Amino acid sequence: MNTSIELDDETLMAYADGELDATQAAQVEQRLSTDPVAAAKVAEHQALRAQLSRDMSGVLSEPIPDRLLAALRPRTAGGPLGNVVDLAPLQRRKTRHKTGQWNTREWSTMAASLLVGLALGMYANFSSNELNKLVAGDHGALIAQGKLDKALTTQLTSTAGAAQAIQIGISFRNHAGEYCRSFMVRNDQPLAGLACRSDNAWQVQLLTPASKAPTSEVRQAASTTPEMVLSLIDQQIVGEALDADAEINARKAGWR
Amino acid sequence: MSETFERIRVQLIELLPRLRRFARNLTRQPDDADDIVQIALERALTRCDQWDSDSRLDSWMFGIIRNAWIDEVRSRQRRGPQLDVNEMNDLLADTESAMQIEALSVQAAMNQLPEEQRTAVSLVLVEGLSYKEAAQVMAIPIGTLTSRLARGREALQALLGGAMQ
Repeated sequence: MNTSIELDDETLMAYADGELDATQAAQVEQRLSTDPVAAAKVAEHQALRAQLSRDMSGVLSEPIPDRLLAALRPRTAGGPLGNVVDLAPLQRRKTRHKTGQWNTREWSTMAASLLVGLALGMYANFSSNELNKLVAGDHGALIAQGKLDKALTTQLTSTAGAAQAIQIGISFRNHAGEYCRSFMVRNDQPLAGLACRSDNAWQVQLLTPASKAPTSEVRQAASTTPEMVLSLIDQQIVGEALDADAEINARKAGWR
Repeated sequence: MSETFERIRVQLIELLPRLRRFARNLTRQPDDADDIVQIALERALTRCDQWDSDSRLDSWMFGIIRNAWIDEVRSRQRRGPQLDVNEMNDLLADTESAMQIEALSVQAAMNQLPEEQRTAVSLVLVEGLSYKEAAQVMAIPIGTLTSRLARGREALQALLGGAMQ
């Protein structure tokens, strides 16, 4: 066995940090068995490393400030909505979700809202003016506005009918206790989505293309509500969907 | 909106706790740390095409965080003197409960290291980067990294003294 490796401080440190290749490491180990001073030094390096990683882990379990999560929400700055043509990511994302690779943690943190931007990518040919009438960017979040805001705020699930440009699917409370409502926007290119009431605004969690809705009722069970919306509802709903009375009360209370 | 953009965004959510830890070791102040992380996230998302997807996203982010902090320190220097951070740490340390004292002593010891050593120690010993990765984050040769790491370690061991086993 070649034991020519020099046990200087730098080598011992590199060994303790796992930076040596297998051959070098084996040489060091052989030398350490007969050199208690060097062995003690390695132990000291490793103990320091262990202590640092142990004592510096407190921050890892602290709650993440909202402003940092907000920085990772989809944003509209830098270009009008729907201005990006890239169908591939959405296709892939959908596939991944179906095969279960999109884990619960991603859904439950906030990744769901990332889908907004993706879905909008599908709508490159959807006029950005149209979209801007429905949603607006606000500090990284997408806020419902115009007729979408109005429908979410005032319209009841039971108000079904072809006359409505926007149909509310279901209303429910999420884990944060916020009211959420799924909706369908009837256009030449229909959109479906989910919005939750927070900070006095409807924060759009998801906005995605939908197949053409029949002119009759559109409810949760309707096949026209995209699977993405349904899974998001499944992830977020606490208890049952609001019934007609509960919905009226929630509307009366301003969805708070 | 590219696929890279989405991938980065999802991964960044998972990385947030570690990004905050690194920034805290770097800036020595939780509030400063979160400010810097926020700036770094914004920078990363606008430059996601610059990320080499074969490399580690955490390393790339640590580099962006470090640069953001360097910018911040420079701009503070232009704005004139401020309360010394170590002085502030001492004030804060007095109010900590006994439970936290041992852990705090490690943080306090870290905080006393010169920034270059602190960054090297933080990247390699706390965040678990390889020497090569840490050297890339700090934009220095590996030899320089290892000497900063060695000096940082030595100083920490001296500061922590009997606490080390």
